[in-house]
Amino acid sequence: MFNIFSFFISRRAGHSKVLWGYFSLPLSLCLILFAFGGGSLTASVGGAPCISHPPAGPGQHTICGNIRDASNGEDLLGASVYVKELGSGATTNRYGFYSISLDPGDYTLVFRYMGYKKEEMAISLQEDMRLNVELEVSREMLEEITVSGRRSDANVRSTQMSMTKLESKDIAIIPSLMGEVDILKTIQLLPGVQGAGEGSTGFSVRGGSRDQNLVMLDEATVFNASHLMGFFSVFNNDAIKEVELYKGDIPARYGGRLSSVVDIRQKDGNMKNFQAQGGIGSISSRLTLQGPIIKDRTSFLVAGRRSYADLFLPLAEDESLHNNKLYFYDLNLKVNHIINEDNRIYFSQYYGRDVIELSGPEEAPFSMSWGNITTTLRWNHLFSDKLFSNFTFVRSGYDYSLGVEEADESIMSFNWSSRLEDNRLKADLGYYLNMDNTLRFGASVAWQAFDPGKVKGLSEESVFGEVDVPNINALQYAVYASNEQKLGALLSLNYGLRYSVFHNVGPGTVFHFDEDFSRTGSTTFDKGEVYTTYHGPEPRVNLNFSITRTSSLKASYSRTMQFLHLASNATMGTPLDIWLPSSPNIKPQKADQGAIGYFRNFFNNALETSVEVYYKKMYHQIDFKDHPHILLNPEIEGEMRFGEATAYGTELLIRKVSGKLAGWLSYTYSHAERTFEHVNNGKPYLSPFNRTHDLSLVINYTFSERLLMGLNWVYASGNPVTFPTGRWEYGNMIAPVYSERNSYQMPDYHRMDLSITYNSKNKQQEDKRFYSSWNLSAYNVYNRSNAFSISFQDVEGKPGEKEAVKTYLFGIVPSITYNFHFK
Amino acid sequence: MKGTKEEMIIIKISALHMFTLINKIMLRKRVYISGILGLAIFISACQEKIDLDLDDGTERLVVEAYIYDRDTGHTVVLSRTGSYYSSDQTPRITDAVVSVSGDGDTWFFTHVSDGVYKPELAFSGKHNVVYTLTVELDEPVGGASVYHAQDSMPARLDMDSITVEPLAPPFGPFDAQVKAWGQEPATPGNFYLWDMSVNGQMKTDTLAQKAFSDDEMINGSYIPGLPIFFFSATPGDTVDLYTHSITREYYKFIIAFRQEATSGGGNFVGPPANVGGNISGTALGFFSAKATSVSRSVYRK
Repeated sequence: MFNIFSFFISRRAGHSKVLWGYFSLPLSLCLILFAFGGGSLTASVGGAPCISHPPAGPGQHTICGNIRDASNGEDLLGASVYVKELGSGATTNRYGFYSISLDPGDYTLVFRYMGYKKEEMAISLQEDMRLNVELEVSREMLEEITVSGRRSDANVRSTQMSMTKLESKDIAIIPSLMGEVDILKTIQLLPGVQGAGEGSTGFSVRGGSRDQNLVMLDEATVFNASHLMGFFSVFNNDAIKEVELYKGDIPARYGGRLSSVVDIRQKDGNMKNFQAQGGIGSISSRLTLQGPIIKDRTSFLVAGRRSYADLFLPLAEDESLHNNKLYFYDLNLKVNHIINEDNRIYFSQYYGRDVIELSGPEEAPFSMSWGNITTTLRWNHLFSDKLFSNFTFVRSGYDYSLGVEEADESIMSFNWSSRLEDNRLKADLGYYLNMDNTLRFGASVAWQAFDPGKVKGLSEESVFGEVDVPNINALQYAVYASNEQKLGALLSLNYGLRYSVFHNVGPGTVFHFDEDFSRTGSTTFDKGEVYTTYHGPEPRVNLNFSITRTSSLKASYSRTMQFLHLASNATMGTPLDIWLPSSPNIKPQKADQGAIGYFRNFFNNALETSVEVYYKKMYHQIDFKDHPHILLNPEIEGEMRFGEATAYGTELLIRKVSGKLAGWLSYTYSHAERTFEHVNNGKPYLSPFNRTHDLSLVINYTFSERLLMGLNWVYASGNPVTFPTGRWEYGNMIAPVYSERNSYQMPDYHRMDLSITYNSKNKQQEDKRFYSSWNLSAYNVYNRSNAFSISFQDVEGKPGEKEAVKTYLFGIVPSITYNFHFK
Repeated sequence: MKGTKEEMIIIKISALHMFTLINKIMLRKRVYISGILGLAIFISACQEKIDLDLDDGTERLVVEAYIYDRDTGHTVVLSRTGSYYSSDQTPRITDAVVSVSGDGDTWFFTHVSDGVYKPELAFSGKHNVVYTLTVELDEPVGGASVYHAQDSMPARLDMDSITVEPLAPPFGPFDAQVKAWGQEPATPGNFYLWDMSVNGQMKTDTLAQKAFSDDEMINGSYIPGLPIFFFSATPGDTVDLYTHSITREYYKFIIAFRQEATSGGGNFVGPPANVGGNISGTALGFFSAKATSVSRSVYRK
């Protein structure tokens, strides 16, 4: 038995800590070499034997291939292959690939994916074989309305815990704000995930900060996933295939964030027919085109979305609004090509932007714009039937700019801009050793450049001088390896290790601060000079103990590290968010999380239930001193304070995945607190994301093929907040005296949303080339004014006398959306 | 957002202020943003009065104290914190023993009225001397009866001259600007606070109306007609500009105090916090030693 875990540990003992980071690269190379050799190769590093293990089992043969949707050729991720005779099987990976190795013989293979007809196949295995399977969408819609597309007992069987997968078609039927279907808001309905505020796409996972979530679109990091000040996410659901959310037990292949991974995959594009899909909503309109360029070999997808609120501005009574601009748009592009059985390439791109331009009656136009661009180029290559590989190049960027520009030389004109860029090369390999062992390993290198901000006046007369916060560069490496292993019929485990290395690379300027956080000096580094190095291991382990066929006990431990930090003390996201890499002043964030869960399915897997308990300890957390000066501050690191955070909680999920009535009920009890030496006088205080009770009910009811209904109800305890407890006078002004940080609580939040979808033509009739649907939805049906914030204002007519005032954003918000499909 | 309409716009050529200014512009523009949003997507951010119980907390001493390098203006104001919702003046302390000492001398202050204490004997502060304020209370407030504070009197910045010029185009209602000329000392880390009076009437009574700056952008250089205040002027107005040199600690205090007094907290700006001053114990406020120069000009259009 080959055991990567012990292998890593034994290697580690032989080298000093500092060198370890550098040794990992050749080690991963060694692993790759080993894998190339199909398992029989013995390689060595530094003279020590590296790998040697017996072949997968004498005389075994491998069946491998892809499982796809028969109607459009889309890969089905997480589809299952079940070997009846053995009572066990495998699932497809994130590219729809599976591989199983069996002794020669006759077998019955069952291919299954929720919402699709299962496919049974009798095979006589005498040699290695390639078996690509296409599954047809199930016609029995009523029985198969899906909330999840997983193998029906996967939640009990797999070792993975603290993970949820959602498909875009499931997300589409959940009622949403203004009819804008939104992945990031849907995941907030899951246990352990809390929205940052009313209608916000920002979220906190298990007491973590907003910046501890890795949001990826086709493996490219999306640094600011929101439009319109956070009310809508940048993900156009029509272009999305599915999303996987990891809130703990994060697999070793992911790194860089402490609390969660949101892995969003775009559709690949229809390989069979041309297809158009679109919608006209209250906020935006969408159009998605996809189809084959070469049938079953090459396909494309183009999706666009634009909000059009501003198109109506010329109709506004207030003439000053006529020239204003306020819109966002998204463009998704994907092309993929199957070169041959062993090679496939994907190219995908996202481009999205928000544009605001405001001009008052007598004022110069103020403009602001921000957006993400991501590009992903991937190459899937099969080295052998057992060794799957994916090589990725990713480039992603985020930038914003704002300013006042005037034709005449004005004292008020200025321009302010900030940008960041992340370039990444990644190799991810999967080695399907045998039925009991699946190895995954890989490496990545990333180059990141940050321009935290510069502002300058545009004319000689401008009152704005020039401030340029120095640019920062970072270089990151990581290698990882993990093995998913079955130990007998009852126990399976997944153990792995990720090792990350971080560098700051010049040119750069580092400010030094004394104990009082006053600047004492600075050091400047030349181009190419490495002036900071952080590195560390991130072990990830989980295990699954099957109690019965329908219940299991799981446990996991993971350590995560984070080298990029959001310089913001706001709980809601703003376009002006600044990401800062670690530096001599900012140590990497680190977290240890342990979780235990009990999983049980009822009624032939129709009802899934789980309880998870987690405890998370986070180190080198960032908060800010009182009255921080965050934006455009070259010495921002002097405003930061560092401390520890603790979060624990219990999450309950009951999910009904099929039938007329489907949906889930989730409940979270949690606690999150922080202790910072220099915040709140060193006393522990509640994290801004602490939420004691959080409950979500999501129900979909299918009346008929043509009529569907959705309902959400959410209830959450109020977030912690700081309120005044008195006032004092100084300089002829009045200032509040505040309570200890976050010692008050906002009022409880609850809300119900409803939606009705009416399909104009029967979707079942395959021959119909066109069908459409109407979606009516209402957000906050019972019109509760949930407090978004509480402020204190002067009582009218009584200057100086204060009253508490709550701001709420949305009353009942009805909306209507028209969707169409054409092929 | 709340706050009174300010009489003047304060201009400061440093990063912090630039942001404040941008913030201001954006705040004014916010009207339009919400207008557009409201028009288009039925957002109507609404406000509603609510009943919210606030714990009054413990009473604390509040000190507002200034001494100058001139023999006028020294003032100490003593009060206590009051109930947050109330509009009553916060309670004053009228029977404290107040003194300022430094450079071997001690001056006692006596209560004049309404919590305001003035020195019994005239004195002028000396530059680069550390002064200590001592307040002895009859009965304890905020857990102590004796409070101390220290501040160092900076060197004075004498302006060569100031001018009052028309502002074209006008900025809102403001059609004139006060500009200052003078040599800023070569040592870094100087901080300034400006007051202005027109025809003998102080126009910068509240801390929000005063202008302030560090010397980051102008250190050691000749201040080339830096615009300090905008205001609405009448020809013939006599303008006095008071340039106070203050310590870094007081400068930071002003920034924090203004922030807490004019806004505070919310989902986008982070939690509010008490403003830390230089008074000992739990007391709030600041004892500031200022070095002040006065320059005069007359507005002729």
